[in-house]
Amino acid sequence: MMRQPLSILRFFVLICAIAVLFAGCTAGSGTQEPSKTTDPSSPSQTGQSSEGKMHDISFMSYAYVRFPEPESPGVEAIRQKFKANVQSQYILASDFNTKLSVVMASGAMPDVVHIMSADANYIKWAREGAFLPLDDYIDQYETFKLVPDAVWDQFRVDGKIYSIPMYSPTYVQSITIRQDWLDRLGLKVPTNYEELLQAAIAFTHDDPDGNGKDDTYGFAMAEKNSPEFSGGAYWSSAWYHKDAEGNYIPGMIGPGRREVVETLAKAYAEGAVTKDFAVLNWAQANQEFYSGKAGIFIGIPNGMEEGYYMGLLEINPEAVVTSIPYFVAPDGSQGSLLNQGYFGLTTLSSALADDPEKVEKILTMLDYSRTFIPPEERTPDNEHYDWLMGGVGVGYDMVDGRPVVREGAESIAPVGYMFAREEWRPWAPSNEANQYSQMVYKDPKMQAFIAKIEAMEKEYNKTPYADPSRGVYSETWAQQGLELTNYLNGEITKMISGHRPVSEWDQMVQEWKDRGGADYIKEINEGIRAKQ
Amino acid sequence: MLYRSVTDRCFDAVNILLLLVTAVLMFFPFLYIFSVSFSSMRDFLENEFLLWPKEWVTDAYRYILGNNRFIRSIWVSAVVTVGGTFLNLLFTVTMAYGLSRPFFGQRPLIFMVLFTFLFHAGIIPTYLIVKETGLIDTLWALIIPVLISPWNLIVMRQFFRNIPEELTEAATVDGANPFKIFSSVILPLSKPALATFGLFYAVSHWNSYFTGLLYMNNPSKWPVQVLLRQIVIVNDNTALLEQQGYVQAPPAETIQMAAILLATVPILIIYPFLQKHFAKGVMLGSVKG
Amino acid sequence: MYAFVLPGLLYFLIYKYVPLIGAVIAFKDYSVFRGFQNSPWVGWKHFERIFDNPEVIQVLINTLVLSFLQIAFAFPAPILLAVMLNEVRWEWLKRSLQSIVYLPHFLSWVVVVGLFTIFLRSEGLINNMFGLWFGLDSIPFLQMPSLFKPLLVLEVIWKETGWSTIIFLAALAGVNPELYEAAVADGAGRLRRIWHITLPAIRSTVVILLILRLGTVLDNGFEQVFLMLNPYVMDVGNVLDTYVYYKGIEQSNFSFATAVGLFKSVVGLILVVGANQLAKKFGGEGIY
Repeated sequence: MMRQPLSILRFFVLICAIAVLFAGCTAGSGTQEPSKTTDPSSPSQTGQSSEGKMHDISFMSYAYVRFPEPESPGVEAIRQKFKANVQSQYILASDFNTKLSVVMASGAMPDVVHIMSADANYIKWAREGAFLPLDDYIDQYETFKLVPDAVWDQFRVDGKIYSIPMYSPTYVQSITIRQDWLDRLGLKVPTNYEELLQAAIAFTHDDPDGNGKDDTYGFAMAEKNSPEFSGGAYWSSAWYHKDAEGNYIPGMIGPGRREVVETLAKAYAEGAVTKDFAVLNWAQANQEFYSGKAGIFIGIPNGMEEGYYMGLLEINPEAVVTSIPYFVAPDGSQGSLLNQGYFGLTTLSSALADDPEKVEKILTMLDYSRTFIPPEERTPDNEHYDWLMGGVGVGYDMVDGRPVVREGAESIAPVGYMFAREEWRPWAPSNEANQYSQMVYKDPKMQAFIAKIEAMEKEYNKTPYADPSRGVYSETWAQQGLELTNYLNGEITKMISGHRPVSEWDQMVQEWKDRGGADYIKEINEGIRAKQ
Repeated sequence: MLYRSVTDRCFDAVNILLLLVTAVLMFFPFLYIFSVSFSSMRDFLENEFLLWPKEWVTDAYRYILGNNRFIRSIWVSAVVTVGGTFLNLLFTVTMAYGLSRPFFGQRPLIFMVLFTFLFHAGIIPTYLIVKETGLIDTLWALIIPVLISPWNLIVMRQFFRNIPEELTEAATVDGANPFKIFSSVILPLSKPALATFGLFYAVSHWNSYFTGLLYMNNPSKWPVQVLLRQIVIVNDNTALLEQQGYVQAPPAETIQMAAILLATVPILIIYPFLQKHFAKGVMLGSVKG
Repeated sequence: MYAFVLPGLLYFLIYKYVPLIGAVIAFKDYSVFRGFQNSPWVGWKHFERIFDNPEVIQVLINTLVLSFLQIAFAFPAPILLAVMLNEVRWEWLKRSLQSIVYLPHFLSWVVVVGLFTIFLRSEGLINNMFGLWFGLDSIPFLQMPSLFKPLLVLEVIWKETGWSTIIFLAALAGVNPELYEAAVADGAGRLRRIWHITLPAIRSTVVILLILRLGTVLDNGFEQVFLMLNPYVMDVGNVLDTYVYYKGIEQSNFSFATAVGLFKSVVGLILVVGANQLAKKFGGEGIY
């Protein structure tokens, strides 16, 4: 009886010892603690005779799918080329803010930190002096000069620039529809909400897929009244409209949104909207459309999931999805809201104020990775591109004349360690220059579909609308924004699903204002005026 | 031989019927997860609820298992689970036994433990202590800060309290010191408890993701649930909108289901080995007269 | 005895009590950049923020009602299941059933809520069945406020009952079989044997578990409720955890989060102390 426990004991002690060894061994090769203060005389790491000093640079960022490892050929390549020893740490995007907070709380802010958005925390930290002001550097680097004022203005704090934005196109979601269904029912592509409603109702009652079953309907929707189905800036969440006193009001309580909600409510009453949309998540809404049940959804050139579209084509080979041109608004305008134009901010620790050499190195590397290379030139012949991506055959392959990143290359290619994103996101001169349809998607059918959206954008979105409220800080919004949005979304959900009459729109807006919305409007307008 | 009356048999029949219904209700969603993980995207889109794959597709599993990061994280989790559970039991059992017999200061001590069950400091102060004791980015960070669970301690202590005094008194009369009593009287009688709390600790280690996320900087040291979260949670509207990936799109539902199964299976495998310790009759014959 | 207790005590002091000093941030406007020392003191401001909206009364009611429903139904369920399993006379069957009922515990709430949605949505499986077999119109289960709390309890029962039987089965394993044999010899039937032997054997365990459960009475399981919440059930479904989430806790407002945590803990403490006293009054053993 005693022997058994003893042998189990021995077994466990053995496992423990292995664990200790494992922990000890790998701890050595792990990332060192990012240091807040830097020693300007850090010794050269490569042992080569170096022109220029080797700098240790700590760097923390977030990623969604691909996480570069701290030690890799990519890091080594950077040591060689830039004399920079990058100590990186990539964290799951969904938990990044938490981890960032604890790292900063432990007094160990890395040299370079990515911030997800210019939220209340960003502004607070900037004011507390956590970040290095970068205004003086903007004119010194090509890719920084390319960033338009409209983007800088969105995250200035007290007039100063504290971060370099990372590129994102200004595309927003546009409405897509089943062209094959329209054709079979003899309908034209809708040009306003009235026609869109008719199409949705027809999809629900008139068997547009011709299979004799009553299994189709109009709008695919998910919780939080997503997608917005906005046919242009006029109907979007932008601060486009003005109230009687000439103040800007947020799009979510404006006449444009009202029209959309009225349309959706009428559609819902006819069964033309996903019945339980309020409890479905985004993936399920996608499923509704791509399984061939719903006929109206949204699209965007960057960030579509190829698997869904190809799945639809397998189920229904004659399916044709078309991008609906932006509607002409009552005031004659046509075009979408301009999206932020950036996603994520690169900040430098204010402790680097004592080390201008290091700052220059960081910014040089950042600039290098942000340099735009036109799609035709993304080949092994372009040294810049080839180096960034880790070398042809190693970091990427050329397939049908296009570069395709290899699986696992995020740790081989230097690009993930250049203080921008884990993937290459150069600062493009225009949305179309990216040619997303060709460069991002693999299947020719998918490419063709995306190309349609790009073409629509080019043709019908010549004057996108820049939201004036971007970059204006509102204390009320910082405190209550989530609550206010939640309330409004809740009421709109009830209106769409018939639990509350849309005729109570003005009443609802007043309720929203009473809860803090009025202060919000006031603060934003003050900020807008201050900027002019 | 026990007499089985008719009512006894009726009871058995009804009991087993109800249990079978319960088991079926709890099992068949797993069939769904299993089926989706072996299905193609098209089959998944077309069918609301698959109970069996229409067409066996192993892409999801190849995607996950082909990535050596997943294998590595399973190894990390395994080491932490085995080593951690052993230490958990060592510390918890000794302290629970210590608190199960009255002695001076015992009541305040158990109240102290209860207090930690109710009051938590928050992630930042805890992180700072973990950092100050030098555990960040080592596997020890996944073991030491969670060495004793107050809940487990309190309940295990109750099990020890339930062991009759006569047994320990008999041993004391025979001249045994507390350690001897512990190892030759208490421990053998506590096999069900040890197996139970060992299982609880093991599962808690296996399922934990937040400590891994917070204390591990190096992705190669991520336990399996952190990796799983990365695969499953990517289905976020914001994430999709800004993806510009040049490679494969983010994992589809089929891959998520495969990841869920793969992360769950290892722990389900050890359970049968522990089941034999729940057998009855442990106390049989231990109390004489 | 002190030797037994000492290592564990050290652990508690270092990793539980020292960090508790940090809970002081509930009374400060904590900034991760400024740190503990330099963040300004604000007294009760964060606690007041919990209560600044009259809605909070409904929220607290929702929280407590849901918690007591869970205790009333989801707490006893594993006891019942454990007793049932204990009565199975074929070891192989008992083990197989056990293995199966443990499975749901391993799924995350994201998956579980997703599963329940597939079943209960308007075009979901249950409604399809009703439509097919009985010709009924589809019932929007997920939109009905009256069903929300019962549904949450049902989900917890489905997910956790099996796993929670383990602790009771372990307690039952310690029951002397001679007691059962003696009872049969006295002519006691199945139900009487359960009532007089099985249940008393786990009584002290049940009491302890109940006291501990009361300590977390203001906890409802944020993830589950958050995933299930929708505009139709907001009035009955918004509990303390989701309420403070919408107050911006996600924006890394650690001071506020800590204040809410302290509030919950104090309430839990009061209930635990009270329950402990009650337990002792009824002749049992409390925790302390």
